[in-house]
Amino acid sequence: MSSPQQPPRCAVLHSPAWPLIAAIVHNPQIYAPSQPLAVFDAQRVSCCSPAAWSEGVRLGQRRRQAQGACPHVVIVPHDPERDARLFEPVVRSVGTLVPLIDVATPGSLLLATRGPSRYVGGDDALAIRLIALATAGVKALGESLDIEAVLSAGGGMGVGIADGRIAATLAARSAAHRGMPIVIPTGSSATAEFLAPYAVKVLVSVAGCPAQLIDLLERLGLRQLGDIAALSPTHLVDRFGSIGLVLHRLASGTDDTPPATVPPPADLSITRVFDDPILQLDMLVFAAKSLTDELGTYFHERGQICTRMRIEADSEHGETSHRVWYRSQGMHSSTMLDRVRWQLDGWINGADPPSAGITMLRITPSEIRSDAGTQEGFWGGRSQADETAARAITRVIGFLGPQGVTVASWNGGRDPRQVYDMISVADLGSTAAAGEQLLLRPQDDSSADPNLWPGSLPAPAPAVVFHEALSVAVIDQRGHSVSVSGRGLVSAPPATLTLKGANHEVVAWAGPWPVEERWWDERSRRVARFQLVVQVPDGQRAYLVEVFAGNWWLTAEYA
Amino acid sequence: MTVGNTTSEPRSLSPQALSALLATQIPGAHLVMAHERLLPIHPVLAPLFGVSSDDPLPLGLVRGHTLACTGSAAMSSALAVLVASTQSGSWAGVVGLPSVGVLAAADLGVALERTIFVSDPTGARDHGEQRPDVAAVLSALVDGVDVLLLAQRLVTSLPLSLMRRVQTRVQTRGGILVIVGDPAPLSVDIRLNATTVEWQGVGIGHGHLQRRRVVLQLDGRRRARATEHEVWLPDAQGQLSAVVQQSEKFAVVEQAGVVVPLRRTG
Repeated sequence: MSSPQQPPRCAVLHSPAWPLIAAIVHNPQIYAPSQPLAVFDAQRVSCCSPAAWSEGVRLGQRRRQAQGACPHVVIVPHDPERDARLFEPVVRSVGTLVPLIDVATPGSLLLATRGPSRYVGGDDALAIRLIALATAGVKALGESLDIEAVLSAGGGMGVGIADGRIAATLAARSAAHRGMPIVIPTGSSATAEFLAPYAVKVLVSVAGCPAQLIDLLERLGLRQLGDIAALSPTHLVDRFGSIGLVLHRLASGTDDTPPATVPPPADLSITRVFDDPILQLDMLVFAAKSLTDELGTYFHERGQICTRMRIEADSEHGETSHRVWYRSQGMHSSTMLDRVRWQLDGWINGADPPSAGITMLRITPSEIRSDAGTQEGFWGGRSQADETAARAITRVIGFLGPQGVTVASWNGGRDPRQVYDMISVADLGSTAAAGEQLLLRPQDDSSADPNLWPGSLPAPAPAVVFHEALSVAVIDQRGHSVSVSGRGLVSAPPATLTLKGANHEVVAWAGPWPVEERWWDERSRRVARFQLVVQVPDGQRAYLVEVFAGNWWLTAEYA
Repeated sequence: MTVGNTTSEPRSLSPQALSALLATQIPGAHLVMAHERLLPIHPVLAPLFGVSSDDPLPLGLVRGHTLACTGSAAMSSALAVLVASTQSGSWAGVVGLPSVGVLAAADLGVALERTIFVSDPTGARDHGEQRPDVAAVLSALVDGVDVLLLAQRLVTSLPLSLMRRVQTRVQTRGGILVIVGDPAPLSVDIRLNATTVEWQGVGIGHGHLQRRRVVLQLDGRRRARATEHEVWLPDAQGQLSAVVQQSEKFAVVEQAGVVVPLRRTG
């Protein structure tokens, strides 16, 4: 095992609530001084302004909880494309000083400081320049805005400079809170000292560690990064396998790039030249799809995944847009395509659009590692089928609307119509935001305990349930309609069931089973249920009928 | 073809031997036999779909096939077809069947977390908006899920040519199309007819429905003869189980144990 080399010194510019800043710039009406704002993604708070935070809104809260804590919170729509498009001017503005920038996510960018620091005269000077450039970038979006106020509403922007990506990212997060840049002195001991007090949980968001692993670490009593760094790497490898070594490197700040990163072969860059210049975003993205598919297949066949790539586009008049994209979990073809869309959307629909159509599009993967990261446990893991299904669901929602695609969620109840609720897929998970897949698990399925509902129908359950009950007639031997008294007694045994104009002989029946629900409010319902088995020419059929206010209704068929 | 000194008869070749033979004849050819492109089926239904090793019929649902479930137990048998495939990781889509009994499906063992319910793409939206493109919806679903359950009403209301295109797409993609009800003009690969013999557990004013004996009859385009099988669908737990042949005496005793006659008193 080679000795850990000094990680490159990095600067990270981070805006913790970039979606809020983007939303205010996009639609200034939503902003007022000290107005609490929050962005919801998949019904949960994904980021909130400091004003909302001080009122008790927390990340991961449901909408109802957030509105309970802070009733006047303004809900900002979740729109990753808007965030990416509006971040582009910031990247451009910083790009006037530093040529090569990694955009990790909209709201966060990373650069190597070696050259720029020497150019502007030190890390502190670089940090101040970066803040100034980023602020100028936001200002370019809307001249009329009070930029300081907007930035403070969105939790500010922070710059952190440290050895390695992890330390720099954490420093930038603290810097955003503190309102001034943080520069960690160079050297592994200073980095380790800075990292030590952080909770291990930060590795999930910063380094893409699986949440189960972090949970395990916490249960083992390793709560801070310092605890892990204090252990010997040998012990960690004993307990966790190769990931133990990665953990140690992450925690001690010596290495954050996956050790198996391989430089790509030189000819991997893939280019598409358009004979007719294209300026429509959709057509460009469509053309890019073949490129990303090709790359995706190439990596997939080799069991690899691309973690960093460079996208370049040239216009007919020689203008160019190039950007490096990084994603620690790796990028599949659809994720790559999203990056292409974000970059081109920001360029074509942004402040400084190209004056002519795009003639060339090039994607160059620059960092590749073996694809081992998508395997998720034995149980509840995602398979290829889950991903194709998730994609199909997103498409069908596009055609039919969110109510068109539903899943069953346990609700409970005595009526077979109520036992399962059909809830829209769109309410369950995020609809494929930024290339992430949607998760299709109704959350409370474990509470599906039929014993909670005494008086519900005995098993087996009917296979066909009519949500709009059909009117039927149940007649006794003498031709009178069967009725049920207030004490639950049947006037005469049912003999005939008249269904859609046809009479069927009742061969067996059971009931009445009176159900009186919600007698305390206006939704009260007093019915008596029967099971009827009738003779039809090709055998028997069993129905569930109920009598409500003297009328008979067919509610289910044991089909 | 030379006659006389052929050493092996093609008919006696095992699938493995045939595969090996083809691999020597056509270098690089990867042979996938029909019985390898299968979706799992509930073990109780397996006898219908071909069982023993000498039976040329496959032991599961052949991918790409269209199946029609008819008879008085059509819905239950269609749900029973979903059980094994959804449990083994496939996704199922249920289209245009708002009346499907979800509790019955769950009791049968359908993995609801991999089942999506899609509203009828031909109906619904009649308040002003344009009708969604049915072909696009169906093809998106065929691409996304392994088993697609369609309502008979949907199948018969669509043009036959469109349904044939959907079938072709299912064949290319390797899914299964299940139609609940008689598909009438559309021709299908397999017909599963489920006829109720009797319901047990309910008497004249007492008991409750407990289990149903169903005769499943499987017939198909490529099948020499129809196979028949008796099952409990559902049994007392709401699941699918095989009918164990018992002596008459046992059956009577069991019946007597089930039925508790009630009398009016007081």
